[in-house]
Amino acid sequence: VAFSSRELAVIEQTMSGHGEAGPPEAADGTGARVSRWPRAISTRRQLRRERPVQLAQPLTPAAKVRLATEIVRIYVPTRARIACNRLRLLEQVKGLPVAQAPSRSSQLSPGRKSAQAARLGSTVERTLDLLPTDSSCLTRSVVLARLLSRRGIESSLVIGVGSDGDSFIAHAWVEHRGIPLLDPGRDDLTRLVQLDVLNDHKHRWRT
Amino acid sequence: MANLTGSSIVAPRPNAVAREVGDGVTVILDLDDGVYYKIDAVGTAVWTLLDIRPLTIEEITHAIVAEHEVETEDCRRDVLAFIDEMATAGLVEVGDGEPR
Repeated sequence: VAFSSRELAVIEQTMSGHGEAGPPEAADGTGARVSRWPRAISTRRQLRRERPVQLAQPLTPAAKVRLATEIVRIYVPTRARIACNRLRLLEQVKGLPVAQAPSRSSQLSPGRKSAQAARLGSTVERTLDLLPTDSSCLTRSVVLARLLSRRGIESSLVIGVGSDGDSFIAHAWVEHRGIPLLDPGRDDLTRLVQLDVLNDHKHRWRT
Repeated sequence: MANLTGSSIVAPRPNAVAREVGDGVTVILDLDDGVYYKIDAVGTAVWTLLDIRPLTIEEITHAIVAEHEVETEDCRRDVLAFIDEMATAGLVEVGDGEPR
């Protein structure tokens, strides 16, 4: 299950805030204040100077519109190709637009990249849910993988297969550092293939 | 489909990715058109062999005969039909082999 950027931010803040809860208790559990208290104060001051890390900055309304527009502009040709059985996944990835200069995202810390990847995943879901046309899991996955690649964020497009009685089922989703950004579907799916889209715009297949 | 002979060399195409999903069944995805194929246990045995290195029809036949109770001629006929189907679907490529 994909987790939201907000949850990631909470995790980070919790880690940063470790030690802020108050004076350490004595080893005997009496709660008596001990001589380590002044040191704890200095730690608290230091932590207060460092504002809690905002892993994913809130988007302005204009930025939200730009992002939604970008998603739709990737979605339209992607859906057309898949609908015409001209998937050509390898070509799609090879044809990813390569930024002339490293994007700001490619220079982000791993935590911020993960937060941005999670936010883009949920934004793709929400945006495509609004469209009157249907979008398959594969379409959504290709759109998200391209969106992430444009920002220099590595991802993996995974295709899993399984059976439901006599029926064959297949499902696609995107992962960032092993964490699903889109719904990974049932637990019993066998991973058929994993396309790693690297942050330097190279890619490789793994089966 | 081009005429297949015992010396025809068969190799999986790079656009075909496969994974065994249990009970000897293998699912193959053609990355070019997004079509999935399901092959049974014998087909899986052939695909597993091809996944290691390109083989001639004759080599595939002998490998299958060594593992299954089947007459060589029957096996050769089935392998030819299977490879023909796979080639038509664009999952394998077939070349003329040198006599061995």
